[in-house]
Amino acid sequence: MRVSGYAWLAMLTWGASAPLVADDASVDQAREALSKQEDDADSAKALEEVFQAAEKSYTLLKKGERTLTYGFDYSLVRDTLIETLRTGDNLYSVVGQSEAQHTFTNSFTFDYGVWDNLTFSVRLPFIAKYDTERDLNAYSLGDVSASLRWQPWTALRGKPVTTLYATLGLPTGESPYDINARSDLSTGNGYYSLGFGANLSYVIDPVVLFGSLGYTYSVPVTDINQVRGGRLLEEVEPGSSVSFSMGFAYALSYDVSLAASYQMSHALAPTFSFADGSLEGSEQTSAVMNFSLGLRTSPNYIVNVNAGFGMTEDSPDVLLGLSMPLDIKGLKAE
Amino acid sequence: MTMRISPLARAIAGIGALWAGLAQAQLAQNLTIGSPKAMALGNAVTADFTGIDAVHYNPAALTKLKGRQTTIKFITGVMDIRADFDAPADYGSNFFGLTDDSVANTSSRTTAAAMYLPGLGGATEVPVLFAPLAGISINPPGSKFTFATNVYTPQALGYSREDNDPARYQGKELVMQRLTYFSPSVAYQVNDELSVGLSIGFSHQAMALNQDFRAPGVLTGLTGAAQDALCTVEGNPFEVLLNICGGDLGPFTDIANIDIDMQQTLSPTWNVGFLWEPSDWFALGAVYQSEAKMRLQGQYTVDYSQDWQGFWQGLDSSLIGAIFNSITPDGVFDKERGNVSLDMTYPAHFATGIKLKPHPQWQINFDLKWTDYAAWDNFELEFDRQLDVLTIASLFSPENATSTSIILDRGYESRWSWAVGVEYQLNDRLSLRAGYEPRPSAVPGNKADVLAPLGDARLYGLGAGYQWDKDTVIDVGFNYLVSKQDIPARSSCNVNCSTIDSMVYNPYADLDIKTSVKAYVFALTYRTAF
Repeated sequence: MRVSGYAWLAMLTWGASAPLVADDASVDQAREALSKQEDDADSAKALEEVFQAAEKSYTLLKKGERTLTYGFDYSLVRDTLIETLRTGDNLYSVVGQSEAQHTFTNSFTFDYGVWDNLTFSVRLPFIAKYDTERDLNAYSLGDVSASLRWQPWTALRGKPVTTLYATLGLPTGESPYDINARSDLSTGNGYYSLGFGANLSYVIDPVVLFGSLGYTYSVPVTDINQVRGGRLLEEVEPGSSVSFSMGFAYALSYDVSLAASYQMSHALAPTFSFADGSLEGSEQTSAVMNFSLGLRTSPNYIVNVNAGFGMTEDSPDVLLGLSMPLDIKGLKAE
Repeated sequence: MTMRISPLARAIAGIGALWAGLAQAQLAQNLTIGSPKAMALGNAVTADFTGIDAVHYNPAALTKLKGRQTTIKFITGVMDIRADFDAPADYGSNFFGLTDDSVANTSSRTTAAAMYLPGLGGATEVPVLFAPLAGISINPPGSKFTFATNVYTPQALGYSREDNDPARYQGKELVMQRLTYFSPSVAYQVNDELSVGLSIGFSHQAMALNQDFRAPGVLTGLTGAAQDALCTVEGNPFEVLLNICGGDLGPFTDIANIDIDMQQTLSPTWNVGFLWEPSDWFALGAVYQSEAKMRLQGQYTVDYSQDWQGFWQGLDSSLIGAIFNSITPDGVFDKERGNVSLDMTYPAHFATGIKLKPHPQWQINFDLKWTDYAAWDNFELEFDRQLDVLTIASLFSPENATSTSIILDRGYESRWSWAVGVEYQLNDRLSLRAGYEPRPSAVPGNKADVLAPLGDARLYGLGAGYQWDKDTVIDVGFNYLVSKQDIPARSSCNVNCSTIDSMVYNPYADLDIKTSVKAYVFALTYRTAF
């Protein structure tokens, strides 16, 4: 919550810098026009583009290049907590809490090519969240994240491409530890996180295979003052997590592509420190299957639609998404 | 029993009563947008063109922004807020003759501005209220569409008072701030005469408040008088039975300080408008600005005074106190901190206006506006735990408080108002402007207070526009706003009632209060093509 200021400052900066972006774009545009025919002939390149649109984190931009992507995502988490009570020899199961959280995220991702093999990106999510079971809602800026993607070795035809990444997550969303736990919804993690890992992709025409492996460290949260279940929560040490993913993208035609991916992450148990003792949470494993369809609506414009489902209790039940590039160049006169 | 409970209960209820004042702060509609043209024309600009600020005033007028344009805005201002607290001749008669009030017959004044810096949180005192803002618009060549976004402050009110200022019981620090940081807008020119427009606002809403508490009234008067009589005797034998000497709790005793810091980082709204210009000399426009239902979340700190803690601890140590221990405060906390939330509605606003040009050099604007303050029926502050002070408020007034929340009936009124502006085109480049806007208060007289003493106000505007070159326009605007209130003793139970049953915070009970607010706002915009 404290950091949210930087978020909107960043937003302002972004707004202010938009015209500048446009200025430089004209050169790129000319360059692109010249190289277009060559691009068209290269099906591997086209395929990669398609795949890049599907799995954004695998791609790098040329030096000085900027893109802005708009994404709309929906997720549903349906959960019922069942508590078991014992009275003498009898066991009763009671519905402790039922929730159905619908989360709508509008996000803007800005990517910038620092060098040909280093890309910086920032993501600003705006979240609207509804819990239809508990009749609650929340609107807020979500957790802003920034990342660097670095390709240490030049890509060679027939060889896999390796990209290393580092991500910083800022707790700009409404922290779960800064709310009234009974009656409010959180829209963020509540802690800083630092992640790094590697992405790998490999082209076997007309398919691109990809996979990743990553580790995320979560910074402990102190100075909490929250009543939870009648106890006063003072500190939380979130568990760090390990994640991995794999999948493939397949070009059905020049204009249509399909991708399927499997993502899994395992988080170690968090530790909650209450005023009167500490409590170990539970480990969580989430696994998600995602399918996406890429549609090329114009030579340089790919719209991506995806749908997915969670496969464990700790995963979202339904995932839907739409992403498309926003044309910054349109700001500049023809 | 009631005797000891009620002053405290009143103090507690006061936590909420602050919001009464906050609400008034809202009545500064259009005061801090910082559009020099709107300021100069007394905000009578619904049928006129205000550059990029049309995003707020009437998105339909954005069609007049051709090509690609950018606007940079500087806004600065000073608010001079004063209050006089005068003791009438019979002052003290309701407090059992106690009159040693350090506030009586003193004056409060502040010009210190405060802002809410998202990220830092809380009220930050700034030397001068100052904000650089900006916006851009794009009209693709030959297109009837104009796209725009603007950064502006629909609400930016904040002040900070000295630690010993007599008005510190109704706002030592207060900030109410709404910053629209992203406002994607689209306007469409239907034909030569008609334009329509829509804008979506992404806003950050903040509210920060710090103030001291006291509870002058019949009951604290009685407690104070009883203390004066009993607590001077060393080793009073009654103390075993009923100990009221643990700490001072008279009508003028500081009970606590409360600090509340709440925000919502995303609060969406939408504005829709049309502009009809059938001829050169006449135009008609209207805009509707939607309400925003918000749930502000944040932190609170209640810092209890030594006297409060001592009084209740002392009471609990005696026989009668111990019997009622479960329903009275314990006084064991020095501080209570936690999370708090508040449902609040940013009220909807409607405005319609005409623009007349009876002569090529003269232009007259006239607007009618309406703001839906009736949406402020009540406010409910929800705390995340049972507060020491709330224990007693819920007992005393179950309809206004529970052990974890305070519910405040507001009963504000939606108001219509008008505004008029005149522009004189001196030559091809320079135009001079003046405007007047009487702003009736949405707060009934019996809800007036010192926290945000904006009652009925008058706003005067002056300004000029200068066409620097083909693509560049510079506008300057100045506003002078004045609002005075006279709140005779016992006329508003948000500030100076003294009856036993006034379940709202009245830190200046029985005092005659006069307040004045004078605001001076200056803004400059620079608009050019890029």
